[in-house]
Amino acid sequence: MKVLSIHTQRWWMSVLCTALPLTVFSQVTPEELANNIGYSVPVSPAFELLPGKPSEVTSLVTPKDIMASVPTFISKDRVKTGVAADIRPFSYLVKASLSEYQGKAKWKQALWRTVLAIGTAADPTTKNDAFLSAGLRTSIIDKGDPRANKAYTDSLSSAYARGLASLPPPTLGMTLEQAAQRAAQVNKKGMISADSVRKLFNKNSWNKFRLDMGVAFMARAINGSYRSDSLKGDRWGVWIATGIPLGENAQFNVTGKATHSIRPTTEQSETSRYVAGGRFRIFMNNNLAFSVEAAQLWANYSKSTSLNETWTHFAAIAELNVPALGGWLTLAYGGDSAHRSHTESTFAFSYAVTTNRIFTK
Amino acid sequence: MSNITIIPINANGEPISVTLAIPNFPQSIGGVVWRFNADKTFDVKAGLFTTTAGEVPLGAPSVVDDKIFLVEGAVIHHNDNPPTPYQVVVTITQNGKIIHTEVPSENGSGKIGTDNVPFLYRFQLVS
Repeated sequence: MKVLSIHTQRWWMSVLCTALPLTVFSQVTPEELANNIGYSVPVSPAFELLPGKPSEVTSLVTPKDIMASVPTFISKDRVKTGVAADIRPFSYLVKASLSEYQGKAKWKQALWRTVLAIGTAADPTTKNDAFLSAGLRTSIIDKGDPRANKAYTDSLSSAYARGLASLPPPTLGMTLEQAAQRAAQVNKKGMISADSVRKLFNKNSWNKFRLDMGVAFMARAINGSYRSDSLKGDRWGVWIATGIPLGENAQFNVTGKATHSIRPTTEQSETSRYVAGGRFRIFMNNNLAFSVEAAQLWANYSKSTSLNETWTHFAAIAELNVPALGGWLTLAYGGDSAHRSHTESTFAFSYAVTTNRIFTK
Repeated sequence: MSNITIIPINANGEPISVTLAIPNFPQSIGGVVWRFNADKTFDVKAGLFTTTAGEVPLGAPSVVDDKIFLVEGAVIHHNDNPPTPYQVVVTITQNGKIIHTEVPSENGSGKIGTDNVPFLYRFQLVS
């Protein structure tokens, strides 16, 4: 890919400097515009339903971890709030070596990649109730799964063994701490650095085809009790997203989301929201990227259908590295179409100069 | 220092080999098997092992009798978040038959996230 010449960049800058003062600008920054919809399944769908995302998530791996975590979540007959954990629930059930994982049984890959998350939060309105949310996330298809790529895993394994073999022989009585120090030296000593193997893989696999799905269900624990007669279904959500490669430097994303409130409290309570959208991104080179996205949103109110509303989200964003500005110049046009709850919404221009770029592969 | 596992071998049998594998979890491993003399001084590098080439030939019984082997390896991470379980299995064979199998006590099983996890295993072959 060609980098824009200095003359071309100056021409664009002069056009911008002329045009920008005449333009209607949005209060929404390009970054906010780009992150408004989200074209991937949340890392932890369970936490999307909670009123506040947990600040710390405990990772559980072994059955022993699970048993040890029980007191973290409950105390006597009450749910403790503000705690969260995640685990790969099928990691002990897959029963596959790496070569079996890389074989034809793709369902084993999907099971292995599945993550279950559980989180709790206090109900900010009633104070006494607690929310208990559980969700699953999986990559049904992931052509960029590093573990499924035999050439990549072989490279890593060989690089490590060769690196270790190039070190002086250890003493027979070497401790695990000393072994860890030697392991840290391996990447430096290896003929092929494992880190460079990883970076190359990530560079080449960023837009491989993938299909992700997430589901979550949240219950309200009346007065914080986890007894079955005190747990009431409150909300559920479903997310699906796909990434489709378009050559080496572009990607098309399609997403669909649905969240539904089982027990709306007032007529003004939103009972369901659906989102469907698509995004196209292209990285022209290391200094220039474009993104265009459009989504339709529906908000429904089952107790008062006259409040139902629908609107369109649109964003077109260009991101250019301008060393003279000390970072990235981002130009955007978009926003949400006007709708009942936001009658002033409109599409508008915005721009920002930032140290870090918005778009990453 | 951790114990050295004593493994009886048939002095008149065929060559012996050690295999490193993670049979029940899709994890990668790599490492080296180092050979030491009975007085614990370093002898030679017996061989390298990887995920797809986990077998390291150790030699004929006459060569390896009384030798001590140190398996120095690591489970190679795949940036797992949340972490995932692993269990390394060491298998020693002679005449095509398994004469010993064991999970190393030093990090031979556990969890791996975003860093390689080193493991160690020591054994001595005695006829």
